[in-house]
Amino acid sequence: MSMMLRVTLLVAAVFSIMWIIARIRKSKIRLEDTLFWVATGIILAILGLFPEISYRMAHALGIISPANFVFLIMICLLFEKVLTISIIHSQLEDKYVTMAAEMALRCKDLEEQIKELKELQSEKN
Amino acid sequence: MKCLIIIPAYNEAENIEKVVDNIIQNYPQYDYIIVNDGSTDSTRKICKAKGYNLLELPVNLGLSGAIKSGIKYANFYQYEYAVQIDGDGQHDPKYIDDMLRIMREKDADIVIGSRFVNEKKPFSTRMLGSNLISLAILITTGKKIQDVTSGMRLFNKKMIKKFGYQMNYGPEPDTLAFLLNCGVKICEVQVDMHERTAGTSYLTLGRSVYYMLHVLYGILVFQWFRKREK
Repeated sequence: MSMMLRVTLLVAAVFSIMWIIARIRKSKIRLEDTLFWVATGIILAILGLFPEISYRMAHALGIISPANFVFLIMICLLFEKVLTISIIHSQLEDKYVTMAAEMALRCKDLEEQIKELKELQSEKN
Repeated sequence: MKCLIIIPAYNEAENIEKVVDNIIQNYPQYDYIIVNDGSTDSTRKICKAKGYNLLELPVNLGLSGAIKSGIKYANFYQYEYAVQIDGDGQHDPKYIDDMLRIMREKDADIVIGSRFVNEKKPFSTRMLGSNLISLAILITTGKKIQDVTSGMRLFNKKMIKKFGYQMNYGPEPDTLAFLLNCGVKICEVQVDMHERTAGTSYLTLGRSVYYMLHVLYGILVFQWFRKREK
């Protein structure tokens, strides 16, 4: 693993953690959504600081270059993120359909009630 | 002095009637609001039929969303105090009076109805979790909260504004830790809780593990990144 790759990993780790901290300070992100990015930052930093881990793991997995192990880890992290986003996305889609339907139903119900009241009033007059 | 009882209810058809009738008959000095969190059972039907004061969420938001809605209601109708209790009847409204008194006497912002002020914690897996969270709060704030997971909490006007309108103010122990570090005063009052009589608890094993991870991360890591406000 080249020195350049290690430095890049560390820079990426520091950058992503700084970015997420800035978001948190401005109250722009929920606690649940920060866990992944903090963990990613820490993993990148560990890989950059301790290249022996990449050498050992690459050897154990039968990967020739330790740099490729680093890429594998990144792909896995991204894969996990895409999967969770996809799940959340489909839940949100369902939620917003339900919400629209519920709102429409309730508006309809209110309209009916107003109509009934008006009819009652005109009967009285 | 107006105090609102917020009752979040998700599929509480078996309990809700008992809980609300008890408040209406025995504690008419408090107003209440049921937040129906998109229940799939007959919770809504029962509330409508009995003419209860009901806030209907069109979709299921989860406990924190339900409580946020209730607290927004409290702010909208200008309540001085808001207290959250569970819809399953484990919290007895008779303690609200004590909690209000302590809030005024000690000038506290949040009062927690706690099972363990005078009594010892029993030994169980659930209490192990509670102890861990207590310890994390003690380490990070220097203050001891005995019953961190209690769902019976009283908020004053200042906290109503925060919990109703700001991000990351979920009704969970990590928010308490953050607020303690912001100089907010939190007190505890001894209460007894009933076992839930019907229905199932929200906490399953998988959820408990996720909950612990979430809360401990919030207390030990996340709160240090947040901007503190007086």
